[in-house]
Amino acid sequence: MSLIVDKVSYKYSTGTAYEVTALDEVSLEIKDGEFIGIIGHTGSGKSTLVQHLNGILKATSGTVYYNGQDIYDKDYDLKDLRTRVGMVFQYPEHQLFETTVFEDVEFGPKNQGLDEKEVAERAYDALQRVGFPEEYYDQSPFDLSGGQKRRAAIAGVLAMKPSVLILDEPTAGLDPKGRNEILDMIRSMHEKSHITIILVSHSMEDVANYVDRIIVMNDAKVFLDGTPKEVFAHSKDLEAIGLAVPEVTYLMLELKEMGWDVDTTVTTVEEARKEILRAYEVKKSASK
Amino acid sequence: MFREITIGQYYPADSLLHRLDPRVKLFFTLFYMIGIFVADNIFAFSLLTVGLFSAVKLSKVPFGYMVKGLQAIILLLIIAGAFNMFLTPGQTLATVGPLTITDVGLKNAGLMTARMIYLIIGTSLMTLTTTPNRLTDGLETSLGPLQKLNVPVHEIALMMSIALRFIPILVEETDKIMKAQMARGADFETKGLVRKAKAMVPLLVPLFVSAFRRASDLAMAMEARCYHGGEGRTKMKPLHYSKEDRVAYLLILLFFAGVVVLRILF
Repeated sequence: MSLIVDKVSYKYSTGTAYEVTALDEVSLEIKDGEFIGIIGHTGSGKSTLVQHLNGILKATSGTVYYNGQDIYDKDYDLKDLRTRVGMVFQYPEHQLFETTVFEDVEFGPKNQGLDEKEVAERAYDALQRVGFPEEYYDQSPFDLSGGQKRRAAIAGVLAMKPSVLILDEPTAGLDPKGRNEILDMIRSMHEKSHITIILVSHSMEDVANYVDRIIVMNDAKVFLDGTPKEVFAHSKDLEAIGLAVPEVTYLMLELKEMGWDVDTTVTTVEEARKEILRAYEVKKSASK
Repeated sequence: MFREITIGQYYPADSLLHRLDPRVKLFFTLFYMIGIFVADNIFAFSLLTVGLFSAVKLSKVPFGYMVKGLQAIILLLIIAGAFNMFLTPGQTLATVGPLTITDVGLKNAGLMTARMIYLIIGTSLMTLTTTPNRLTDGLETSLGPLQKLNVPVHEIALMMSIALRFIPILVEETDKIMKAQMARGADFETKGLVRKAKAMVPLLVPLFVSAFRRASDLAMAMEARCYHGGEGRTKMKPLHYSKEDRVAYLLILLFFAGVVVLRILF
C-alpha cells in the first residue's frame, strides 16, 4: 500500500514559447501512514508534483503507481483514485459553490454514488473532524470568515474518506492563529485516523513542527529527502537555494558558535528549550 | 483544455510586426476586415491570402499557434457552412437525400467560411503581436477625436484592456477550479445536455464569485492609487510614429486598393 512516483517529468505548454519543465525525472516512494512535508520555492515544482499523485495531471513521461497499479493504465479508474487520494488545493475556499455549507461538503460523497443517508453521515463526520461549528452548517459558504471557509472546503475533501490526503499550502493567507488551528487539526487527523498526509508548503517553520519526513524540491528536482533533523543539518545548502531553516535551528547554531555545547539538530521550540536548559545545567555544574 | 484558447493573447517575440505602432496595426485590422467583405472572388482572396501570410510570416508567431485559435470556432464554421450550402436557392448541383446543393450555395458557403477564418486569423494577429497596454494606448489615441462628441474614449479603452488582461487570468482560474472539483469526483465529460449543464454549476458558480471578487479588488486598488479617469493623465511611453510605421501605412492602403480593384475588375 503506497504511492510510487517513477521518473515523472512534466512540461507545461509544450511546443510554445512558454514551455517550462516543472518536473524533471522525479522519483519518490510514499508509504502508508507517513506525514510528509514538501517544501520548495514558488515554481520549484511542488504543486505540480502533488497533482500527479491523484491523476489530475498526466506526466509527460514516467508513471505513478498506487498500491502497485499503474494509474495511467487504460482501464484504471481515475475517479476511484481521486476518492482515495484526496487533494485540497491552494485557497480551497474558491471551490465552494453550493447554497449551504453542508450541501457543499456533500458534493464529494454524492459523486462517489453513495446513498443519501451515507452521504449526509459522511458530511457530518467530516465537518466534525475539521471542527466546524455546527450552527453554521446551513449557512451559505460565501458568508463565512476566511478560516471557516477553508475548514468547510477541507471537509469537502475529507468527506470522501481518502486514505491519502494532500494539502497544498493549507495555511496560505491565514493569520497565525488560523494557521496553527489548521495545522493542529491536520496533525490530530493524522494521529486519530492514521491516514497518509502530504503537506505542501514554502514555510519551514510550519512543516518542521509537524511532519516526520521532509522532501525539499528545487528546480523541478528532489533536492533533499529525509527526517526534519537530517534535512535541517544541511542549513547551508538550504540557504543556497533560498530556503531558510527554522529560527530555532539558527539560534542553536549561534549558541554552538559561542561555545555552548548544544545539539544543533533540534527543530522545534520545545526541543530547543529542553536542550538549552540541559546545556545550562551542564555548564553550571562544571563551573562549580 | 482551456489553455488552448489563443484569441486575445499576446505572444512575445521580437519581430517587425511587434515593433509597429499599435495605431498602424489597428488601421491594418480595420482595412483588412473591410477588405475581407469587399473581396468576393478568387483573385481578390488570393491577394488577401498573400497579404495575410506575409504578415503572419513577419510576425514570427508560429503558424500552428495561430491556427489553434480556430479550434474554438470549428463547430460554428461547420454549421454556418452547411446552412449556406444546403439552404441557398440556385442551380442544383447535387442532391443528398432531402438536401440539395446549389451552385450559389456552394459559393456562399466557401466565401463565408473563408471570411470567418481570415477574420479570426487577421484579428488575432493584432492581439498576438501587441501587448494589451500598447493596444489600449493605440485605441485611445486613434479614437481621440470622438472625445469631442462626448464619447468616453479613455474609459472604453481601459475597459477593453482590463477585459483582455483578464482573459488569461480567468482561463487559469477555470483550470484551477475544474481540477479542484475533479478532485472531489466531479465529472465534466458526462453525456447528455441536461447532465452536462448540471455538471457546469460547480465550475461556474465559483468562477463568477471569483470574477466579482477580482473586479472589486481591482477597483479598490485603482482607487487607492487615486485613479480618476483619463483627464490630465500623461503617458510613460507616449506613441511616436517611426519610418517603418509610415511605410506600413502606405503598404496597407496599396493592399486595400488592390483588393477593391480586383473586385471591380472580376
